[in-house]
Amino acid sequence: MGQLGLLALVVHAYCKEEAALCHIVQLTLFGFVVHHFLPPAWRMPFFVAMSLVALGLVLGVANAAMVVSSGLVLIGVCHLPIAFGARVLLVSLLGAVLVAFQAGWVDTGGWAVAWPILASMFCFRMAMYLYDMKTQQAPFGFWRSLAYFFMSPNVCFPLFPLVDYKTFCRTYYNDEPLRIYQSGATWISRGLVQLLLYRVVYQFLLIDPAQVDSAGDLFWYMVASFLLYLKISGTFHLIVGMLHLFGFNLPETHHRWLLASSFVDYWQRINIYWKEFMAKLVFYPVHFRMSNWLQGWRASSVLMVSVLVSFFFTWLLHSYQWFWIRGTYLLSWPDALFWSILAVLLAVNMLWQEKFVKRRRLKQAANQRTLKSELSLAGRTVLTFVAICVLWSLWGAESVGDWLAMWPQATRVGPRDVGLIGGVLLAVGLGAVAMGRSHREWTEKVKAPAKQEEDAWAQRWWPGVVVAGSCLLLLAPLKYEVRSHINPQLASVMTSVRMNKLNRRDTAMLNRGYYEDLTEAKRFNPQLFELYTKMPANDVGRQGTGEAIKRVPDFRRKVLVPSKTYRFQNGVEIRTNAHGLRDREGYDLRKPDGVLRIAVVGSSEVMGWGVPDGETFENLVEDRLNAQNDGSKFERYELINFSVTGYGPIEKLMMAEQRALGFDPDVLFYVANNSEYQWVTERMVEGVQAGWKLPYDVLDELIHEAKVDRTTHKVLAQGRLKPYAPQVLSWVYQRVATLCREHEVYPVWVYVPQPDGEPFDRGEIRAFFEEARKSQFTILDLSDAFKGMDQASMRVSKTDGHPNVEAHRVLADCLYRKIQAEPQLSRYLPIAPSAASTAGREVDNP
Amino acid sequence: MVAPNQDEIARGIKEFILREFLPGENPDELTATTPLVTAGILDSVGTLKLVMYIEEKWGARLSAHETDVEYMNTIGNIAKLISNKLK
Repeated sequence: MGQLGLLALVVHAYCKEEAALCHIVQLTLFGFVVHHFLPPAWRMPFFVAMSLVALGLVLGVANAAMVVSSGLVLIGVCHLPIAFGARVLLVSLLGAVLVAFQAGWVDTGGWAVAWPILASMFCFRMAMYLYDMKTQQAPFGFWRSLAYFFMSPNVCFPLFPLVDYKTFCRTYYNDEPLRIYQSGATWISRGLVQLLLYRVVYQFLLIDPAQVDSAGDLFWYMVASFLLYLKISGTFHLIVGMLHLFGFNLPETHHRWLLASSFVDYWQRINIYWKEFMAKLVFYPVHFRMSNWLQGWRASSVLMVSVLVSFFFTWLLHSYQWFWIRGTYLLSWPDALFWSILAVLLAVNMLWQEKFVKRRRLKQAANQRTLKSELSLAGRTVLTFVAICVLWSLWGAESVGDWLAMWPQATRVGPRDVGLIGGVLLAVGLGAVAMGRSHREWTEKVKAPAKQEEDAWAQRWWPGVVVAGSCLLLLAPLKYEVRSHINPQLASVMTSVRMNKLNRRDTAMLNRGYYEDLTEAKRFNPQLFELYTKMPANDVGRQGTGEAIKRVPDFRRKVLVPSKTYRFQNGVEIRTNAHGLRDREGYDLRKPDGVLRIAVVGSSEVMGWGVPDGETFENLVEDRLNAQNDGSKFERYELINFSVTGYGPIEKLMMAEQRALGFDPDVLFYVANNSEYQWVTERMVEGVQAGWKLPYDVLDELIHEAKVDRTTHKVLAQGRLKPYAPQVLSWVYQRVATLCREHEVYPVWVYVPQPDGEPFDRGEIRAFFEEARKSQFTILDLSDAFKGMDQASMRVSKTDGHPNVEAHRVLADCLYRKIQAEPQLSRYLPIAPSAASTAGREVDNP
Repeated sequence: MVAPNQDEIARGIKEFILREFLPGENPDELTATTPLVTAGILDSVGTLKLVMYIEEKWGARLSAHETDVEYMNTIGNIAKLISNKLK
C-alpha cells in the first residue's frame, strides 16, 4: 500500500493536468484495496464493475452506456447458437457499421467520442476472442468476457496492449497474490519512469529536421526519434502494472528494447504482445497454409514468404488500428517503406541465424562469457541500434523527401559529432554487456519454487525498495520547481517535464499555423495528436470561418479584409475596420491635431486571436490612456493595431513600411514574440518555394548566398537559411528603426510573452533584445507580465496558447506600467510617472 | 503399425532439439519439464522446424494454434500432444 501511495503521489505530481488518468489511478488504488479483501469469487465481477465506473467517469454516463451496450451486442453475437462462420460474419457486419460511424460517413453527433474507445477495446481483442473460441483454447464466462473487453485502464489509453484472451485467463491469479501485486507496482513505476523520460526527450532532446547541421545532429535526430517510443513502452508498462493489481499476472510487454542484438531479437523485445498476436493469428496460420500450397519449395523459402506476408498484415493492421484511434488512414511512403525494410531485414536475419547461429544454451553461465563474446554482443547491439534508429527516423518523417534532405549534412563531421556519436554508441554497447542479454521470463515465472524460497528477501522486499526509491527520486526534484529562486533553470526543466505540454517546436507550429497543417502534423506527432483529440468541438484552436482573413499569393500570405468578420468555433467574433485592421472604427488616415498616435505592428497575440473586439491589450491601453487623460499634453491618444495573424518579422516590417507609417504615427510599437528567428526562416523558405518575389533585395541576396532556390527541399532550405536568421532579424530591426527616424516616429520594441508557453532556453530571446538594443529601439519588456499567476488559465484554450481576455488585461496593465517607467515614453503620458499607482517597476531585460 | 508411446516420442523430440538447437549441451540437463519457448530455446522458426520434424517422423498433423506456448513449452507437453493425436 505504501508503494502504491507513493506511485499515486508521483502520478498526481506529474499528471495533474490529465484528469482522466488521475481519476483512473485513484479508482485503481481504491479498487485494489477493496478487491484484495473480497472473496475470490467476487473479484472478477468487482473488477468489471470498477471498469464500468471508470468508463462513466471518463466518458460520461451517456457515452459509457453507448460503449457498454455496443460491446455487449458484439460479445453477445459471438455466443449466438449459430454456426461459427455466421457469428464471424455478423461481427464483421457490425464492425462495418462502426467503420461508417468512425469514418464520419454516418453522423453520430455526440456519440462520436465513444467509437475510438469501443474500437480500442474490440478491434483486435475480438479477433483473439473468436480465435480462442474456435480453437477452444480458453474458458469462457460472462464476467471473464466483460473483464477482458472493458479492462479499466483502457478508457484512458486508446492505444492499448493487445492482451491475448487465453493468456488473460491463464495468468489470472496463477501465482501468490502478493507477488503479482508487487510485479504490478514495479511495472507501474517502470512505466512512470519511462513516461517521464519520454517527456524529457520530447521537451529537450528532439530536434527539428531543419536544425540538422552535421553528422552528430543527424545521429541525434534519429536517436531521439527512436526514443519517442518510450511513450508507448511506458504506457504499456503502466497499463499492465495496473492489471496486475487485480490478479492478471500478464507477461511483460517490452523487454529492454533499446538493447536488441539483432533484428529478430528486436522483434522479440519490442511490443511483445503485438508479436505474439501476429504469430498466433497470422504467422503460424499463414505458414501452415503456405507449407501446403508451396509443397516442393525449400523450407527457408516458405519461411521467407510467411514472414513477408506477416509483415504485410502487420502494416495493414497498423493502418487499421490507426483508423480506429485517429479516424484517418495511414497510407504513407515512410510507413510502407519502414515495414517493408523491416520485414526484409527480419526475414534475412532469421534465415541467417538458422544457418549460422544454431547454438542456444540451456544455461547462461557466467563463466561462458568471454571478452570475445562480450565484444561481439556489444558490436551487434550497436549495429542493430543504429539500424533501428535510422528506420525509426524514416518512419517518423513527414515524407521520404524530408528524410533524405537531412542526409547531405552527414558529411559535416567535427569533434563534437565524433564525441556525441561515440558516446551514445559506447553507452549502448556497455548497456548491452551489462544487461542486454535476451534471456526473458516473459510468461509465468520460470524459476523453481525452491529457488524462490531461497530468494525470499530479494523476491519480496527488494522490488518494493526499488519502487519506493524510484518514487522518492521522482518526487525529490519537484522542490526545485516550488523554490524556483534556488535554481531557475532546473525549475523550468521540472515544469516542462511535469506539465506534459507541447514542446517549443510544436507550440510554435500551432501558433504559426493555427491548425492549418495539423491534419498532417497529427499523423506523425503523438503529442499534437493527443492535444487535438482532446480539443472540444468548439475550441478556439479549431479553424474558424469568415471573410476577414484572406489568403494572398504573395509573401504576406494573409491580409485582413476591410469591414468583415471572422468567427471562431467558440462563438467569438472579431471584426475588421474600414482600413482592414483588427481595430475600432474612427481612425483617419490623416492624424488630427492634438492626437498622440501609436502604431502597433505585431502578429496574432497583438491582433487578439480568440479575444472579442475591444478587449485586446492594445485597445485596453488606449482606453486607459484616454480615461486618465487630463488634456495637458494631448487631446486624445490613439493606438492603431496593424497586427495580422501569422506575421513574422519581415511581414511586420512590410506592414510598418507600407501601411502604419502612412497613418503618420508619433510612436511605433514593434511587438516581438519568442519565435522571431523561426518565423524569419520559415517565411523565407515558404516564399521561395511558392515562387513569390521576396519583398526586399537583401533577402534575395541572402537566399542566393545560402544556395537556396525553388527546387531546394524544404528541410534542406530551412537548414541552410537558419544561420542567416540573426542577420535577417538584425536587418529587419535596423530597417524598422531607420524608417521610424526618417518619418520622425519614435521606435519602441515590445516583447510580449505567451502565457504558460515560454521556452526553456532563453538564449534566443536575449539575442532578440540585443538586436533591438543595437538598432536603438526603446525596449519594453513584458516577459514578467504573467509571473506568479496561474498561466494555464490565461490561454484562450487548453490547446491554444494565445492570451485570453484576462491575459490581455494583464498585458495591458504591464505595458502601461512599463510605458510609465520608461522616461522617454512617459513624457507623452497624460500623468507623470510618480503619480501612477502601479508605476515604478524597473524595465528589466532577461 | 503400432503407434509410438509418449516416452518414445519424448525421446525423439529430445534428440531432435539437442541436435538442432542445443549441440554440445549436456543431454541430462534437458528434461521433460525444461522450458523451451519461455527460455528462448524454441523461437517461432524453431517451433516450425520442430513441427515439420514431428509431421515427418510420426505423421502427426498439427494445427496452427497448437504451436502455442501451452503445448510447445516442454518436451513433456509436446509428447503428450503428439501421443493424443496418434491415438
